[in-house]
Amino acid sequence: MSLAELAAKAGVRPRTVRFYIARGLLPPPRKAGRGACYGPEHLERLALVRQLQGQGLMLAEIAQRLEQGEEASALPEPAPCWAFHVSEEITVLVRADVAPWRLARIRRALGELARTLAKGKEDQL
Amino acid sequence: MTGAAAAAEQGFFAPVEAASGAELRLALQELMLTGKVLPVGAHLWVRHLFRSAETKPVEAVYTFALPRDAALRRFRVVGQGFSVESSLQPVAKAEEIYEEALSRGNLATMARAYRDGLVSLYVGNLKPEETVVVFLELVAGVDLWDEGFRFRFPFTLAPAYHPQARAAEVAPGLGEMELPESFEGVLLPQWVKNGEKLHQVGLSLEVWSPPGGFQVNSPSHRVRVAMEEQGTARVSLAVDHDIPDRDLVLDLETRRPIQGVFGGESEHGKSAAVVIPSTFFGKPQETQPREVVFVLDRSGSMEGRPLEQAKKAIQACLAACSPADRFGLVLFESSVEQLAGNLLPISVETREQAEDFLQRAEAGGGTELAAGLAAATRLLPQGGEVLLVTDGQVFGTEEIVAQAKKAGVRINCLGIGAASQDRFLASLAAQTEGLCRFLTPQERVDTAALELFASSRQPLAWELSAGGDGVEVEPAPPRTVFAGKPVVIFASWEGERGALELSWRGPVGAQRSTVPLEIGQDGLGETVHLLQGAKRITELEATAEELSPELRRKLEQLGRRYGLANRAMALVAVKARPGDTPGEPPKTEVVPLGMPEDTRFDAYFRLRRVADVVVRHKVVLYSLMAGAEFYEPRERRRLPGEVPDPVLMEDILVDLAGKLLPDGGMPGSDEEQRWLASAVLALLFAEAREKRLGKWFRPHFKRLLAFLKKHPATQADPRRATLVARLEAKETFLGPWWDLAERLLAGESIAPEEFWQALPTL
Repeated sequence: MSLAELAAKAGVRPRTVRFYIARGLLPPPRKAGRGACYGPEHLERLALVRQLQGQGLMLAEIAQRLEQGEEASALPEPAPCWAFHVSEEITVLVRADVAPWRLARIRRALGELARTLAKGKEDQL
Repeated sequence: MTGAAAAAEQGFFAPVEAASGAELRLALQELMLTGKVLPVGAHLWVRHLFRSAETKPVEAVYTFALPRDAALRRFRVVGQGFSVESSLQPVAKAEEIYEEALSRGNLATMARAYRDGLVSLYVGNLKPEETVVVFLELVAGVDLWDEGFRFRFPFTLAPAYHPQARAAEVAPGLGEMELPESFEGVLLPQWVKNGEKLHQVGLSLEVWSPPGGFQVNSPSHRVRVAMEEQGTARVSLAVDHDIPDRDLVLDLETRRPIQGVFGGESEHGKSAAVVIPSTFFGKPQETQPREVVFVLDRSGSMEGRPLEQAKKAIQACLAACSPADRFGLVLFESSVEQLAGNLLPISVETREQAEDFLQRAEAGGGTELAAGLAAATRLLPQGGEVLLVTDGQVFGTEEIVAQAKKAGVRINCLGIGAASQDRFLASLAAQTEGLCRFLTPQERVDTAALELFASSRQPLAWELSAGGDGVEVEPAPPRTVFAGKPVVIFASWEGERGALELSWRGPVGAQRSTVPLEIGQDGLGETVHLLQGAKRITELEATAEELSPELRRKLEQLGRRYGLANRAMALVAVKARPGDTPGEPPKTEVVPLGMPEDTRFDAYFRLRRVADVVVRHKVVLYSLMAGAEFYEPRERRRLPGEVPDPVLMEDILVDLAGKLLPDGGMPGSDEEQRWLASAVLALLFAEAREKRLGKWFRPHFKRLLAFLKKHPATQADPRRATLVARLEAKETFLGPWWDLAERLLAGESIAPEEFWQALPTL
């Protein structure tokens, strides 16, 4: 089938199909005479990509998962972090799932560290 | 090796292809902004130079944000041996023409508008080594004030918050963001932490200038200004080129209020934009009690200086309120917090509560602006006004504007940022009859907030309407006129001479006036006609989350009438070149942009998953939670006796003005100390006014003088009475007032002898 037919069948815009090919999410079309031709494998892959997107994955993540196949499921679970900028060259990541009182203590300690470092810098100047 | 070390070894932050790690070859190489800027809007031609360095055909997609009140008119595509012009088509038809041309192997170009004023320019089937130039013609509005205007043009696009958006760092220093389906598949740019290797931007603009004194500045770029002929200045970059990491902002300031009729005759008849300065409607009158809710954005992208300045601004605005006023205070990020469940009177206690509440606020989280505004409108069931301080970095703005419009409160917006949310905040204010200012990160938030707060305080005129015999006025002018903000009316008419009839209600009752529509030989008819169309389209689109069939029909109609693209009408052009053959579709390349200079890359693109996922695709996924910044730029200091620089002067004044008590006087340990502190601040305000600083402190100054005048100590002492009377008569006095001000800020007291010694003439 043609690009327009594939897009219509999958319920996406032709642009989306082209974009997915450029991102490596879909294989390029097969050559047929002077034009390009798409088969059922394209339709299947499109459905899979849309399904993964529906689960909240970004295209970059989907590309990674498709390429790795089974291994991908071994990835650790998400762990959100706070990023604290202590100085221009130091950023400290703190797990966001710690207790609030604990986070407050960590913050205070980091604040102190930031002040100490800033003071050291000033003294040097 | 860690991800960061690997990144460093590969040359940090250069735009790289996620899959191969190879450096990106940019399809868009240059962007040049030309055209003319008038007080009623700008007519622009943007030159985009595309060049492919790939070995296969590519489709370059450049997504940008429209300025306020803007619309695309047409484009011309120039390549080797050919030049084609776009045609205006309904979106579905344009997409079809474009896709068909691509499948035949032809060069296809399309410009299409999406929600939030996002526009994508698609250049498809760019052959290897081929160079194509797209000249895009558009019109855009400006932010006009009585004594000048500000023109903003987006060179970059800020990533923004949407609850369903997904964002990640896909390669070191390269961020991607995807929007949900309701955004019709718009391809956002990739954001590059360091934009140095991106396309170059430049400009050469003709800026209208009035006879007499004026000044052209840019708070965003280093520009060169040259006088050309009478009435125009040529503005260009002072350096050869720049990078796309912030908007262009141009300011024109005049000595006298801008007024007049801009327009002319074109094939569409006679059209004009009439500028009526606010001073035409009189001076602000005595004020009535005011109900106002301050809404402060404390989302992650506001982190640092913007948030600190905004807090101070709100305290200073509170100090400008009188005891009869009532206020509310709302902070929002992903969630909403408010000071109290109802409006509070202005008193020492409530002001202290507000201060504590603000002090505790830290930046972090998303930008649930809609929830913040909803909380504010709940506090104002009878109507009232809101002062919103935000960077406006949200997607899906139509819903927010629609809700705000329904709520029936006036929203004054103070925007902060280097990029592109001007259109949204201008719409939000216009649709709720409020005022809007948008600042660059280099400018002060606190004084701008005070200025906005002072001008929105008391309308000069209500129920303004405009019309006339055979004169069509579209869109309807704002119904309320505020001090400092002129009214611009777009009119078109038939016949030799037209007259614009105005009617409004002012403090003295119903009033009328007639403005003759006299157009000169400037040949601005076409430009003004387009600006009128763009304004009407923007108004119609401002609240449209989805296009209903009826709205689509209206937009198609407006698009055809004015020859302007919008969300329902797109521009498309096709060129069949010799040797074009059908084949594989071109490879889509989205043009990357620089992060706006004031937005931290990791405010949007940060650890989403702490995992060793530096695998073949080098996808390091970051979380969307905000952090905190501990380090601060070192403070400015002043030596005793030294007159501070204007920036520090304003710092001191904002801090002291924030301390004014509800009775209009300064705090102090006893009545004598209160009197002295109040007198010192009044002396400082007088000096600041002399230096043309701090006109926004007028309400504070007025309240201070009123407090001093009725103070028993003034009435009992002729020397004090003379000082107050002479201050009222706009006199200034030399003295160590800045030293005393810093002592007041440090909480120290002032010795009466010291104060009077500094005033030997009294």
